Amino acid sequence: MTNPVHDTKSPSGSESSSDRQRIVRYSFYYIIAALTIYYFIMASIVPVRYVRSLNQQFMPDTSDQKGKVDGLQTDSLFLSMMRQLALTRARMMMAATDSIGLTVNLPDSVATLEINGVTVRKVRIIDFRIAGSLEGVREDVWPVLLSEPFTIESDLSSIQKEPLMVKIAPRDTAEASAMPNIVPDTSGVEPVFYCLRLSHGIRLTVLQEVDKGSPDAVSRNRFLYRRSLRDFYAAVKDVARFRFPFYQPEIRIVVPKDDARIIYRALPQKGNVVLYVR
Amino acid sequence: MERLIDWIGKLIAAATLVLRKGISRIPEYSSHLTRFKHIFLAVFIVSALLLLMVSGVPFVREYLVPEAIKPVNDSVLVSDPQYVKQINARSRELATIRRRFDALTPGQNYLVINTTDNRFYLYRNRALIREGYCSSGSYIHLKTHDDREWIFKTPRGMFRIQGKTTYPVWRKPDWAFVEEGLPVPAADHHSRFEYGALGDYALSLGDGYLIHGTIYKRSLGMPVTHGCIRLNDDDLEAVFNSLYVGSKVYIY
Repeated sequence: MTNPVHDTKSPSGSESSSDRQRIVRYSFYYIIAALTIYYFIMASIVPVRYVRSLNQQFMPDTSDQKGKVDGLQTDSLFLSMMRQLALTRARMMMAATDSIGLTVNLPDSVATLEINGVTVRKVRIIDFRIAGSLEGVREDVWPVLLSEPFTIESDLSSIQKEPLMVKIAPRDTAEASAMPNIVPDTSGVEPVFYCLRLSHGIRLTVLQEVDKGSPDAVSRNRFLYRRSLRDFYAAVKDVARFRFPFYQPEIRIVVPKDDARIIYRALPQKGNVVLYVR
Repeated sequence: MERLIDWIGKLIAAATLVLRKGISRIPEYSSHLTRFKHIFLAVFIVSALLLLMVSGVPFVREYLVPEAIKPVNDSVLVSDPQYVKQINARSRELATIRRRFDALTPGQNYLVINTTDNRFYLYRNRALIREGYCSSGSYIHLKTHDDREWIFKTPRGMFRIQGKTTYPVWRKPDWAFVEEGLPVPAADHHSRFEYGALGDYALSLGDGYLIHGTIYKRSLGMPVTHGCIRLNDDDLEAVFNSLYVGSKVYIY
């Protein structure tokens, strides 16, 4: 025996519920699609916006220049001198800070570790790459931007900064003699890759030299992909809050493995980096 | 080829349907594309999109920034006396600042220690005169049961030689006893003083850190010390004779 009331009400009830489901599902698709499009648009805009803000922030002040010469700011000889002045000024400022600093000189393919202005380690840069977006920085802006050392704000690395090993002190001599001697690891087998997030939103990535197809090359790709995922996560978080997504133009250098490790271990947590880009 | 085009067409049609109706409501395609295939398709599309967003977007967007105007090497300005004046002024400024920067490197003897590779470099008149292996801090973090702790690392930065000693006597600190499970004696107890352990010479860097010799020659080149710098006998003698009180030591 069937219940007529139930029979008549049930189809219309399930229909309305399926309609609701469909609306929810469509809304979900549209939201996802809209967010994706929004992400693509914002991600495309943000480098342009970043470079424009750099150009505005570090525009050279020529208002008090005596004997103003038209076209001086686009003269290659003048700009080259200004860049070298900026580099030396920045190194002087870094020398005054009393800590270990790094100078990355891309035109000469040399990186130097400096303490109080004294070069303690010279490293050959095997290869480097500058983010395409930095091509948009005006030539007269570079000397102003690079005339002060950048500060390391944070880093992401494949190795430890300080390889601390905890040892619990023995209670007596018997326990001491039974304890294994901790032999420090000097093999240096772990691959060395790290990113230093610098002030003004620039990122310096230091990679050890790797042979194509070697396990270290796989580790490098894994490190870079892990970093891209972190960037993507940060960008998505920003987009979800309707902010401009996370963006950092990158300067990437490749150096010998030992030098990469030495630089990373020598630099303090909030150390200084001087860049000489062109 | 036709089959491939047909299959791609079906895939596109299925993707459209997935978006329009959802996976559960496409019976008309069930004969060609199973639900599993639809799920696979959806996962593929989402993964491709994610890959594009993670790797493709950062790559592509770099090239959307318009390139800045490049400088011109213009012979036009060379004839302008104001331009020449500006160039000469910058040139003088650059020479001055470079001289000041170069003056930061000591002309006298100085020592550079690399604690990562455990090597030392001795300079005289800015030229390297000796290099070799040394030992630096082990990075061992020693903890006791009563919450005392020490970290055995060599400090980094610029230091000056505070004092020089021949035939130094090691006054053992508390950690030397703690590490061996011995009770810590009074400050002036005879067990604190050890002869010959530091070699023939010692140079003080301040705060109890020394450059000294060692009886553990085999561990040179490794990070095994409690923060001091150990050298072998010959190197220690050369360093001792080259550096004076006030000489600079750079540790990185």
